[in-house]
Amino acid sequence: MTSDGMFSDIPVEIGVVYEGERIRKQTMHVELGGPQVKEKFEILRVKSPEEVHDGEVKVLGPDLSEMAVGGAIPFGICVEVAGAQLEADMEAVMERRIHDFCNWIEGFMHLNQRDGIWLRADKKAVARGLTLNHVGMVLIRLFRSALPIIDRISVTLITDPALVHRWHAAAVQTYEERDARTRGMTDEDVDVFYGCSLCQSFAPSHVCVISPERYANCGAISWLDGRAASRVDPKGPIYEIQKGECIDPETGEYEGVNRVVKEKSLADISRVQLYTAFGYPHTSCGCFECTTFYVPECDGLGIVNRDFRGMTPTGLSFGSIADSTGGGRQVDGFHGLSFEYMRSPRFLRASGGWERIIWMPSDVREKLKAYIPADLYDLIATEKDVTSMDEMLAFLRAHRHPIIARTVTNEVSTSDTLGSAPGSHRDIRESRSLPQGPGTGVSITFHNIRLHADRIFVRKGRK
Amino acid sequence: MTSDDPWQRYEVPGSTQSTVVTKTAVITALLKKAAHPLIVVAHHADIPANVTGNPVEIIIRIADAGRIPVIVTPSTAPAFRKRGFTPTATLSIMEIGARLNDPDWSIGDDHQHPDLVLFLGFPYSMGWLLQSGLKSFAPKGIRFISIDQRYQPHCTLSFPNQSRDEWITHLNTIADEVGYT
Amino acid sequence: MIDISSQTKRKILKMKARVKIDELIGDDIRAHGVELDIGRIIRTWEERPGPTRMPGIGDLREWDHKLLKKYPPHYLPFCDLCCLCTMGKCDLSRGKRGACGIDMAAQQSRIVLLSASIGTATHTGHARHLLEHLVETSGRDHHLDIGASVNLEAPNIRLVTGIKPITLGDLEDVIDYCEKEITQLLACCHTGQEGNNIDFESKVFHAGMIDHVAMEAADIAQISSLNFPKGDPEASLVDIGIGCVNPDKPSILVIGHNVAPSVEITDYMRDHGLEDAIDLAGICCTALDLTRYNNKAKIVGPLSHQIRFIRYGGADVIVIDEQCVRTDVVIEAQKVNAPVIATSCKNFQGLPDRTRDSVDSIVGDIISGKSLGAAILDPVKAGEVAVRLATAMFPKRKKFRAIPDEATIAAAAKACGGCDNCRRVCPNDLPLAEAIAAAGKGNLSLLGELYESCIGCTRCEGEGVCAKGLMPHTMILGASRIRMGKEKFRVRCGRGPIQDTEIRAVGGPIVMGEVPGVLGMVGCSNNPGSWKDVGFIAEEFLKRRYIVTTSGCAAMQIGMYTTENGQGLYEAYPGTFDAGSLVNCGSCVSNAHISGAAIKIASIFARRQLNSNYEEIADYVHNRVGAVGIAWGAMSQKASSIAAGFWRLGIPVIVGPHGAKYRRMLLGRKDHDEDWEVIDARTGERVYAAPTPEHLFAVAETREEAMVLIPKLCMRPSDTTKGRSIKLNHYIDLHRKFFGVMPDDMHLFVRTTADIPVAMKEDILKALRQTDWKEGDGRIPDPTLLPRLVRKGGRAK
Repeated sequence: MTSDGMFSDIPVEIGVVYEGERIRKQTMHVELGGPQVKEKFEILRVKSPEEVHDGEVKVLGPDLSEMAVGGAIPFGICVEVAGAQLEADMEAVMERRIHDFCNWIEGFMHLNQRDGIWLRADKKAVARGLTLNHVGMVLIRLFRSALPIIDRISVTLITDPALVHRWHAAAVQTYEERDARTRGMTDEDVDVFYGCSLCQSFAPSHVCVISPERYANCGAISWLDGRAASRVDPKGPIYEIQKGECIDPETGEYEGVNRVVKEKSLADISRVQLYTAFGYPHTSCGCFECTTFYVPECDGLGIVNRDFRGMTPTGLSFGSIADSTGGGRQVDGFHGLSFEYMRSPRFLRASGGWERIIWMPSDVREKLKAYIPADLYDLIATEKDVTSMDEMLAFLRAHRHPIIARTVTNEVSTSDTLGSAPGSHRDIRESRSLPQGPGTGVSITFHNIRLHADRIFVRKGRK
Repeated sequence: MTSDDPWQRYEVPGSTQSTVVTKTAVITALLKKAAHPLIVVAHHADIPANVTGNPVEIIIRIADAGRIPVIVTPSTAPAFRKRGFTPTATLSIMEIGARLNDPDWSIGDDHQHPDLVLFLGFPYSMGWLLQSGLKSFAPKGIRFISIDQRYQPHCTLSFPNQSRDEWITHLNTIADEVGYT
Repeated sequence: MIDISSQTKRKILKMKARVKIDELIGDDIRAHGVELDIGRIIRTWEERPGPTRMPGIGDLREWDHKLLKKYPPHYLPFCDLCCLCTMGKCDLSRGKRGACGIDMAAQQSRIVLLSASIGTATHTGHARHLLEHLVETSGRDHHLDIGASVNLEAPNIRLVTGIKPITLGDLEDVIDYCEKEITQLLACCHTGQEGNNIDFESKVFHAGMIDHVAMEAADIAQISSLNFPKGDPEASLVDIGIGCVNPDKPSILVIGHNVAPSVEITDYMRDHGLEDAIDLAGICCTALDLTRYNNKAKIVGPLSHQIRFIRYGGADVIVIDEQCVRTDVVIEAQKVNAPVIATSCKNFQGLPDRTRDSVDSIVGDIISGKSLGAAILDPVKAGEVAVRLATAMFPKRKKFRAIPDEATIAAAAKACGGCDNCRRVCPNDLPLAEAIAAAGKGNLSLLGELYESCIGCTRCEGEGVCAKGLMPHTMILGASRIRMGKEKFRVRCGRGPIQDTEIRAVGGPIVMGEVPGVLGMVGCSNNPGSWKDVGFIAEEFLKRRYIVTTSGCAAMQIGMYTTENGQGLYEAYPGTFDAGSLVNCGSCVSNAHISGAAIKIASIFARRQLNSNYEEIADYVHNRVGAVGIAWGAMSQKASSIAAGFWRLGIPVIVGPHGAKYRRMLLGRKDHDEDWEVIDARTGERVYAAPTPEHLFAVAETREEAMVLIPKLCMRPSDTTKGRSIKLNHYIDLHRKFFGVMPDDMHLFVRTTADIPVAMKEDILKALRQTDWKEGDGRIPDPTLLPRLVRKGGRAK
């Protein structure tokens, strides 16, 4: 029924309700891209205004109704946009919306992204008159509606195999250039970071600081995402932080970040150091992908992810550890992380980086293999190697994990001696070691206790 | 069927119950006399009738003729709009009840609390319960009249239990009578 | 300083303590005959307790009154009279007061309180009996284990009582507290006790809160002791439907809610290698809980299926426990020569107590026809008797049915005089006379069509209803014989609690607007129309990527619905607590996991203190968690107490048309701007936050109305722009789909243009321009109703 107004000229419905719609092989008219086709792509390019024929939809090659039923064809989508506030760096963020918008079309399904796209058009939708031209029109209207910073937009849909081949090569090159640029981007390269208060609807004092080298804890928002979101909705929950003067490049403390975090957390948090798990670590809400946990026996850090169902060698599950982590607090050693942040060169650098990590679930270790220094990879224990703290310590010793040397020189310390500024003052808001298991540390409170004494003698003065 | 028993046998009312009204002229006269009448319609009104028209069409005639505001429930609204009639407001059955109980609430251009309310199209037990609430909690002096096909015991006046043909005929008569001013 | 070893500590924690000191002589003190008496030692945890540990009936009054000011009661008196004391009957209508001084508003609230107290007492009584049995079989020290990923094992219990239950024995303390509160609540219903309707309502909320505590205790006890699925999203799919019960095998039908006897039946069958030889099937929550223990067991259907299955002759022996059991079950069972075994002292049904008799003598007496059945309060013995009876009765009964064939119905139907009396006693106003008239002419299809809308109450067959002695309900069954035999669906058995990690995983999607809300589809089978409406509603919201949680009879009805492709909903949608997933928590008592999930959100995301801190958590849930309950076919007093538990947490509940018979709604007034102010905890300022959610308890006239109300009632003051946008999208889209136009109140919910759904932006902006809508400053409050939660720097005004 959404096609009453904005989409009244489109023969099928448009709306988020169709997002979860799956088109099965039996009801499929045609597959665009997908695993059976070698070349397919989607790309969004930011152009200068004169290069974009605003509102134009071009279909290069046969349209849906002209395709053989049940077939799979090479396919390309190219969206060109122009706007005063648009930058080439935002292309990837905007490009990802193609997936959402295609899926909002009834009878049209979109999976994956870039050169892995896999689309299907439903027989019923094509019978009702859906064409690729309509798809282009829908994309234009939805892009405009979602991103008012787009001034001009055009869409080209390519089904001619020869043209797909040609455009595909250019698209792949663009992806590579983009990735190279993003990979190389450091926190020093930019003047602004982004703050995200989306989670404040559930965790009122938590603020995420998103820098090029530190993804949001949830793993869903990169610096570029933040940049795009803050431009689209300047009053919104994702906003610019002028990073200001760098107080400490090692720990990643910035004057501007401290100011904004203090303001947004209503002074609950006054200092944040981006690359540490101790002292003034970045706070966590509750939806972090992974968390560190502190192991006082060797002054090391373990990492456990949300999907890990077993027990860490400390005898605690992700749930128990996560309990000590969240809620917008700074807790030494208990620190919410995204996978992306673990791929960053700045990953917990001030706390020793990968040299401080002693344990992680095997699949997480495998997933991050390319980012863990090769000489450390085998030294980090997993649930397959150890199941208790005794085994853990034995493993670390046997494998000569650098943490052992650290323990010897450092004795029992929870501090951030690796790289922390000499004499830096630490004012930990809350500090704790592992949550206690059953049978330890009992405190007793008495209610309505009845004390009966036949006689009590109280003598004034000593003896 | 007994005309003045509650249609649902076990929905036994209390100490007072609606006066049965079989003469449509009584309803018409009260409608014309009322300073701030209101019609409330729920979704059972949209039942294709055997005789002439559909209850919704007749309500539109009554509302147009008497310039009476009409509140409909959400599921009833499409039947009115389909016939080119925009209801004064759309509220759920219980929301209508809560507002009718509020002496400060008003609808229509005159900004006055209604002094007469016609009910039609109610699922039987929902109508019965709503009207029971109004009987005890609405400001005094309001006339509540059920013009549904089945006798409703908690109003000031109610149609008796009747056949569908009789009911449609009675509704049409009210529409005709309201039209003769 | 006394040093206690950890082993000693553990011992102390399990016992009462009495210390007697005959003589104590120290440096500063001298004492003789000192006695120290500690009644009970309660386990708690490291979190500091909040202000309301084990709150009494008046302790949360202030919070309740805040909610009730926002959502004042709207009464629908069931009757003008009060008939409770001997000064009456009293007419309370039109402003009159009764002989005791009570007015209509207070009387209606008193009845609501009575209903909620009955519901709470029923769950608590169930929990107590179950716990007694489990303590006997597993021991008081049995360690509670409800899954490694469920860190917060008992959010309701921790929140209300401050107890962190570790063993079954700890749950006894919880139930003690519930029983004490129920006593006080019932006392409030006495003549000359409470007189103010709002204070009655506050007590209704109290009953609801206690109910969720008791339900939680019952479910975690059985999950742990009976090894039910422990928060498992992939809990087994089991069979449901009359046609699943094999007519070629002996069969046992269990009905009710307390699973203990069904467990013993299963164990006896397992021990004697009879698992494949006998079909074990159930109706109502006992069936759901049985499949959590034994996934070969079958579910016949919800409580509306009782008489139809008994008359269908499918049961060779009927074992009843407690709650929602037909009170004429023995009479109905006699019609098909099936014996009845009662297993609960709450529900003897007039059967002789044979608990102390030998199994042989009980079985012998029943097989010989000497007795119609027996009450056996020992579940183990009842289990053995049931199995032996089923085997013995099978060849004797030969699946004897009390359902006529088509020809008999058609012949009988000719006698119908069309008086409509059967229709006039039918709760659903079903056109029975029309269908019977058609049957008289040989067309049985109209009767067959009533099968899904009939709630199986048999009022149409009551004494004196039909002058011609016709049996309309039986005729419906006769016309549906073949479809009953083919009635087969699949339902995912109850998974129990929501894992903490699942809640963490959906935190992001909820704030990003990818999950528009959490729906709790609960309640009974007193539907106003077809049971399929329940599945229809569920499917729509699953498609829209809501998290749909369910329990009890609603969970069964969702299973008895198939998609366009002929797939069951449990087969089509995963069981994870995630977007577009269908989460069957289990039986009625598993409802506590739905409220528990809302409470966990506060603990997990905001690290709000749970220990004895009800008001703050309810305030959090009410203002932030976009959850809504829908009990389309709510019937019972238990359904009312379950709903009341959600109300006190500020979670709205929608009921179907019959729910209006609960006598009062809790409705907000969106036209009163001042009702929708919240305090921004950051600044202390009062800010308009729109009617979010608009109602706390509302009845929907049609399923479509309910479906439009659901997304609307998922909106909360703290919604992010993405969250609000998606919620509005579904509200507006469903309104257009069912009512043809955009809603007339959307201007209330659009705070800034960023809230406007992308795919409707032009249309909505056009509509907004026609109202007095003005774009706000985009500031989303940190919403609370509690001035004490204003943070430093802010000041409550």
